[in-house]
Amino acid sequence: MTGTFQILAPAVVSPSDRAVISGPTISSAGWYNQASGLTTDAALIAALNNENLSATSLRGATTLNETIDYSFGLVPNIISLDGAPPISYAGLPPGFTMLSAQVDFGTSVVVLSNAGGPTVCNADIFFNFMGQQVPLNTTSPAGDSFPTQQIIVDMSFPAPTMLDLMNATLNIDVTTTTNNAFISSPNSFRVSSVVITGTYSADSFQYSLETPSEPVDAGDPITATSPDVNGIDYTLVTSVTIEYPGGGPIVVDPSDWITIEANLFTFLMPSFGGDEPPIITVSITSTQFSGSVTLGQLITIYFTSASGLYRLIPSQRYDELYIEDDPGETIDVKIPNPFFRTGFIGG
Amino acid sequence: MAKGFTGELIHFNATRMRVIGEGSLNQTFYGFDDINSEVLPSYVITPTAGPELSVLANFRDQHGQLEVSVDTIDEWFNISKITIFVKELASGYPQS
Repeated sequence: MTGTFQILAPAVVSPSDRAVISGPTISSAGWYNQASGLTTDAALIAALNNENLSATSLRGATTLNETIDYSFGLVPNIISLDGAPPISYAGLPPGFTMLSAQVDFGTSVVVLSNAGGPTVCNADIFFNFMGQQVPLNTTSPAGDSFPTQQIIVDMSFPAPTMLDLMNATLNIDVTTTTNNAFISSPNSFRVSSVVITGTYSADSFQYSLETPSEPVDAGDPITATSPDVNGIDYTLVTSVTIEYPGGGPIVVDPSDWITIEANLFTFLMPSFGGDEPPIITVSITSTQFSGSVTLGQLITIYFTSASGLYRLIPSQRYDELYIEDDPGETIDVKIPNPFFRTGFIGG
Repeated sequence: MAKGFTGELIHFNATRMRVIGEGSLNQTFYGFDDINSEVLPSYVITPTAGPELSVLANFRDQHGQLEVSVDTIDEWFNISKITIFVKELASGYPQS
């Protein structure tokens, strides 16, 4: 399954230097005026939904730098898949893999004040996201406008995951300068929208972990398979870990991966040291999908080195044993023919 | 241990015991090294004391020991007295 996603709103917006500037209000509709402080973070958030955003203004200073940082949380419902109501990162479907992502910065307009005579103004705007940058510059006395800019996320190896995107910060950096600190009108900047979109796939992979028929001990081979179609490609596995209640994870050393084929994977059971867990879980990570996939569970009562306690209980008339195929469950069996013998009679 | 036997051939001819329990009580006579043996008829025992049953035997050896057992789950026994009936048959085995 493939589709498109869009991040509709950030969790945190951090406009810096908001309180630095003082001066009259710029009242242009839809503009964010840090000088006045009249616009709340909601306006910044709304920019992700195709609404105007103004990032900076300048008055009474020769140089001013303004930045706005978007950060995205994993908990809020901010990811829309195929136009559906937004869900959280944790709510993404199993196997969600980001195939591409981009940020579209809408039409930008910078207005520079040329009032008051021989004023020279300059504006530098930088859009930054996931290590890429789009710079804009104008020295036009009255400012300039720029068409839509785009940052396409680099998906080359190692391809970033959706988690990487969610943890990234989207930054807008605006610096304006002037040689006239006493101009009557402030400079300003706005961008019509900031839209983060991408494509994804959500494939469910099939796999199976073969349950050994013979007793298993450290060093014994464990085999996992997958079907030819829609199966896990074991050649893309990056790590194998074994976990069990109260211990682990134990990482299976890659040198113990004895068979690595697309549909067949065999590794050697690592040593558990002094632990004898009743059941273990085998998980893998891969470049084929995000996160880890649990291949299955093994009942480690098969471990030949397993030991137990035999407790003598008065009036106990049967032995209580664990069932190999049903972890945690017990079965009552007879004590093997309890008996006694008298001493020998006869000389 | 019966006293007075010094290699005589003995006839173990019956057992009787005061026993309570549940299940079927099994008895077997064994000679040295379990070479000779005789399985006696088993009988049902109950948790409350009943008559002390005499179980006939026909085991002959110079030495004999009685094994008492149960062989099914949840069976048990508690014996407070055992009587083994024996009789000297011969003073010994002659040299062949």
